[in-house]
Amino acid sequence: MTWYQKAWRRGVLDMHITEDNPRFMTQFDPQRFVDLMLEARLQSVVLYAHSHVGSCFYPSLIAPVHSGPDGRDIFGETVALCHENDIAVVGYMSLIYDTLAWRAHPDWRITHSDYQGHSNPGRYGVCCPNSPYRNYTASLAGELAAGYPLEGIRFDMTFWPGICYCPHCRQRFMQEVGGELPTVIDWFDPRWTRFARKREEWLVEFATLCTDAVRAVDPAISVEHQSSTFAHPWRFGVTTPLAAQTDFLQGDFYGDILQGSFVRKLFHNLSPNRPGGFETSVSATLSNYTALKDEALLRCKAYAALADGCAFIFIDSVDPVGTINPLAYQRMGRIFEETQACEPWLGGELQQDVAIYLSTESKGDFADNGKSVGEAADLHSRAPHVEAALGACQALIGHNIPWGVITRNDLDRLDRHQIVVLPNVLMMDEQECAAFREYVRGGGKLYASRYSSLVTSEGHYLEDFMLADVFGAQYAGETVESFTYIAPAPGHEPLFGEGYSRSHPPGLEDAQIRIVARPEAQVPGELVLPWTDPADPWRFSSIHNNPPGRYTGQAAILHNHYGAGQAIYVAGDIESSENCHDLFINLLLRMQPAWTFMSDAPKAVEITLFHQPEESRWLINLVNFQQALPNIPARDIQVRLRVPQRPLRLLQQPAGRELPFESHGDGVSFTLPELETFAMLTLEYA
Amino acid sequence: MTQPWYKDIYRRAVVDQHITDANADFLTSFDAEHYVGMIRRSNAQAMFMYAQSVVGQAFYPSKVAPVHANLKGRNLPQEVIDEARRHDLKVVLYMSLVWDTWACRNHDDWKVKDTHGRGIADDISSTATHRAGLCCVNSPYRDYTRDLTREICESFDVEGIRMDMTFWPRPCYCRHCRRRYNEEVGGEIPEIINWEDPRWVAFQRCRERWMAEFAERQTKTALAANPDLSVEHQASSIPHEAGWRFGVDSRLAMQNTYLQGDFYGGTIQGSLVRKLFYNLSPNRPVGFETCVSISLANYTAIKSRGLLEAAASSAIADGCAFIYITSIDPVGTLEPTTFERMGEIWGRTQRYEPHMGGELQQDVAVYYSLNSKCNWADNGKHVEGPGLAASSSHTDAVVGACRALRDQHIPFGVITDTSLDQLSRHKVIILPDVLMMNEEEVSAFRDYVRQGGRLYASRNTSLVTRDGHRQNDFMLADVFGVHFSGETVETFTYLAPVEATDPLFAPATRRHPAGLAESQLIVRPNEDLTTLATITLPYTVPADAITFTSLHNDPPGFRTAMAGIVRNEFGSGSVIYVTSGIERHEHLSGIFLNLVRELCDDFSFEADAPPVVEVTLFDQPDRSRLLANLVNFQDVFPQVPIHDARLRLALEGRKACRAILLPDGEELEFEVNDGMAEIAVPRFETFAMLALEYE
Repeated sequence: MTWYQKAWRRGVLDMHITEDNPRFMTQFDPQRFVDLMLEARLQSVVLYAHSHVGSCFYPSLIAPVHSGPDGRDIFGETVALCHENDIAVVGYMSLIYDTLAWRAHPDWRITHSDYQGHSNPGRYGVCCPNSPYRNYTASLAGELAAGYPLEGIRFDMTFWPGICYCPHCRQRFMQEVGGELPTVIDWFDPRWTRFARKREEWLVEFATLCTDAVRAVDPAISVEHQSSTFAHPWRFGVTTPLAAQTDFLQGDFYGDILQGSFVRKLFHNLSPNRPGGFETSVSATLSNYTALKDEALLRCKAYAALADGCAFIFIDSVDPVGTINPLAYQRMGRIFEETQACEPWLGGELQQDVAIYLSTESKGDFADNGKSVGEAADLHSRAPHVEAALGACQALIGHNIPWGVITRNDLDRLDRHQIVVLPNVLMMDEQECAAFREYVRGGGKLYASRYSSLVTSEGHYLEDFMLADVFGAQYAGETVESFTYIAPAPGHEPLFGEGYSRSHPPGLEDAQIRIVARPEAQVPGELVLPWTDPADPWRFSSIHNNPPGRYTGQAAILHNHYGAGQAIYVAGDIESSENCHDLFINLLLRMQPAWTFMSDAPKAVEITLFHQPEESRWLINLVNFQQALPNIPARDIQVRLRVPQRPLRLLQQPAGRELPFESHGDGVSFTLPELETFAMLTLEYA
Repeated sequence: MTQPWYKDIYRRAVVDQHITDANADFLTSFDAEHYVGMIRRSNAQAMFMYAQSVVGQAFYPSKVAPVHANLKGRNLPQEVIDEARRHDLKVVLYMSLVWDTWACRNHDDWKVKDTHGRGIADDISSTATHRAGLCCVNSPYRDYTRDLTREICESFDVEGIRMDMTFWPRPCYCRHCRRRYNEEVGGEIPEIINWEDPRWVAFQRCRERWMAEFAERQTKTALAANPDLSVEHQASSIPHEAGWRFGVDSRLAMQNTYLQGDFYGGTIQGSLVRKLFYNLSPNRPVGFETCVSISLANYTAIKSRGLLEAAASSAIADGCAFIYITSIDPVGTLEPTTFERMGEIWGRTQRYEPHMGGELQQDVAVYYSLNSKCNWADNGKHVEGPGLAASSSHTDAVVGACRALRDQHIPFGVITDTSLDQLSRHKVIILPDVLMMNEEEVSAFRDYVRQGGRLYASRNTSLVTRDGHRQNDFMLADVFGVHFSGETVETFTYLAPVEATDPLFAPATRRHPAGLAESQLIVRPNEDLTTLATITLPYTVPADAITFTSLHNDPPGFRTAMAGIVRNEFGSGSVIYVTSGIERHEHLSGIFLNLVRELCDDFSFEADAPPVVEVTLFDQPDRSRLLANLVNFQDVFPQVPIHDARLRLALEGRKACRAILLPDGEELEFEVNDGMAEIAVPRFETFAMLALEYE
């Protein structure tokens, strides 16, 4: 077993400290730090060898060495002490973000599209991985790996902080594609799209260079690249191939509850090895590090990670002089004492009846088409495909449906899932389409929305969907109207949920694809347009809104049987709009009426289910994570499991308290009397 | 004397009818019987019927305004009034002010103009503003609206008139405004914002006065036509996030019979505005409006039952009427689902109405200066330039203070300059970074403290006069016990406890003090006061991009002796002054509350309940009882029910006789300890109302 397979409790001590004051880092005490880690019950630590500042905390021969320790190798001393105390050490090294390198090497700088200005000349100096900087980092990584008996190395910031137009990038593009780098975004222009694909490719190549530099020294050292960026917008240039350069995925997140749940499900499937790691700061924000997060919030986050089978990693910041706030470690120690008790039951395969497909090549926004890379402040801020994916996840959690997040790496195992959701996948290629077609032909159920399969990954806007045969649809254009409606076709009102009717259909704050239904497809929903074009400032129907007025009779939702499977295609991305979530769920239920688990748990409670066949048991986790904390306990939660095995015992862990359950022909049902934050149950079977 | 119509009318309905005649079918299916039938289905007691809309067209045969082309001689308001009378429904007529598409499109001279003389609504890049033409109240438009108001009020026999949109959509530089400014102040209207420039501030004060004057003219016109009418002007503009731009202060409130406004923000916004209205409104109950749909723009998407019930219950808890807003279909029909949903909700909540009333217990009053809704970060920026602050620093501090008090169940209210003569009602008054104050305010707060009141004040409070003159010292320096001396260059700073105050700051310590993303004022304390915290500065100046300490943050480095929080005894009272607006910062709410508790720790009630449960308390001496309300208002619906809430009510020398759960009167057990009656609140999902009878 590798170190990370047994390390569920991890820590990071941010040490991005400059030398701008002679006292800085003079008081760092490795023994004190290790004592605090022990108090926090840490099993591993990410220890800074080299920071964003660009200086090292070990006597590097390649990079500048921080003067604060005054010749001491505080990195090496800490590594030794950690090992004495059975704490695994991951050496931290910053990529791309390197202020001293940026200041010393103008030629390495990431450069703006006007070819004049350089990236932020402030604290954060960012270097281009196509410049000679790449050789510098590879050498540094090799030096670090060779210098210390590390369990792992973490490369932070392996992403593009901006769109680089430096001479090195221009030259590579010229050589590999030809011509100048495009400066106008247009996802329907193959040259622009080629640039985006090149950036993704170049980044993976750079990551490979760094990974290889470590593995060349010692293949047993685990390698991580910062993984928080897989769902970030296109400008970060991060796609699924980056994951292959990482032994396990781990990243730091500062978003909401849904973001956490989403990325952990993504890591579960995308990570080359498990567990994935979910990091967040112990402070309210990184910029306000003396303000500690509330203990109830940290507890919820730690349990939520556990419920998804992830390690939890807290990030603290060192004081500039090198001292550390013990309160953070005491707080985390209390939390980890609780979560540690649950660790023996972790593991297994997450049950993902519904798989949300995340296309990392689709993180652009077609609304940006025609804008200059450098012109608009609000450029690239949205990723409609990711928003749709997140919306789908939110709906599934709210309805207690088992789900997961998959990527193109999972195309060869789609049959694990009852339903695959393609949430407004902006760009797809033949390989993806072939896999989804085969999945449906073989009996799978597919939900797809809006642009899915209409634009190729190379930026070709097609005349028809690549999956037209599967959808039962023919492409017929897009609506001019940017506020549109989908009305139930006669007889399909119940699908749309309470409150909607044919005369008052759900509205979408966006355009829809116009489609023609193939004869074999059923049409449960129709396109309705507002009385007037919302963009017309002169002629309108109502001041505040754009009421439905023109019932087109054209299909907006199609239900098609294809091979042994079925597909539902929706012309708008209804999963993005919370007001359409009932419709979205009802469409899934139309194809798949029952799930591996069902529950009446409140929406703030998420349930996950893992199968552990080697232990002959199911692991059921329930996390109560409310927006306002402390949580209000949820009571009398009913859970129904549909599992084929004969149940023996239902136990609430870690206490091992037996819970009554009722057996059914196809599973069990039980009631959880009270849930404050976390409950872990095991259902043992014969 | 008969009771005004609105006194016991807690359920009111608005059906938005801003429908054009762009299509020959529009409004042709309007049927008063169907319309009133739907309103009745919702259990509403009163309705707002459109006489005229933001589009500018009248829905009756007006001789003043253009008439909607599809009416063909019909008089929709009268049809509805006739039908409503048959069912004992109160009717208020709606008309739009300032926002009038027709008037704007037909009278260039009436338009609100930008600094280049362009009509704001001429910007066709903005569909929203173009649809709704904006007219200046200093132009001849004011006479047009006067005539229209008179016609409406003389033509219909109704309970009231509602004038919507009585605010400045933005600063106007039309020739009429320029002329008035020149006559009243002199010179050209400034285009550069500067809240310490008396000429700029004079412009803002003119805007507030001009709007109040316009409203007064409208109100007088309505009352001259029918003195029995209630008159409302849209009151949501008073605490609006647009801040100073709307040009509305407490003088507008005086032109209303009662305050009512529509709100679309979070739970704290609702709680704050209802408490503001409670004290500011000339009469009660005030009205809290919100739309039944998830937004006005997406009117077919109806909010969940849980959310609507929580909103309606919150209004009850604050002693307010609840008003739902829905929209008519362009052809004139109404969708039954909306009305059925509200009927179901009000069917439950109306049972509480007979128990409402009394005096809200507001131990802590948060002072909201309606003339300070600005942000000094805008100083030096062009009025139409980019990068203007999105919110008012004073309003942010007010909101933060209210949020902290609500979450920790401390009885609070929101007061304005109309309550200066009633300050002694409150045990503590909060002055949250009040950017501008006048002598009347200063003198009222000084007297309040002198006579035993307890005051919390932060940052710039009393440093700049209401007319924009920065003072050399705080006008309340004697009360605070400190003198203004400057401001830190650092924009990220820290507050560190002194040894005796460590518990107030936990988990922050002197080594790891409480950080906040703002500068602090530097003050010179008097010798006899108590320092509760000092200022710690970061090692390096956060704005310095070259020399810095740590990439992601600005760690504390220099512990100074500069006072950051002080306590002063003045007269018979006490004051805590803080050199920064800590109440703005949610992560510092614990420190803020500890400081409030340092000033006072005997409140009218205490509660053991989650922060999402808001508690309000009314004293009903005429019924010899205290009325407590608990509203469970979570972010996600349906809500997790509350099982174990406990409430302690201060008896203040009275004897508790009986505790009951309303509306059914189920008797509850209670215990009296230390002068407080403690009651275990039975499980509830959204709302619980309890009464403690005393003698």
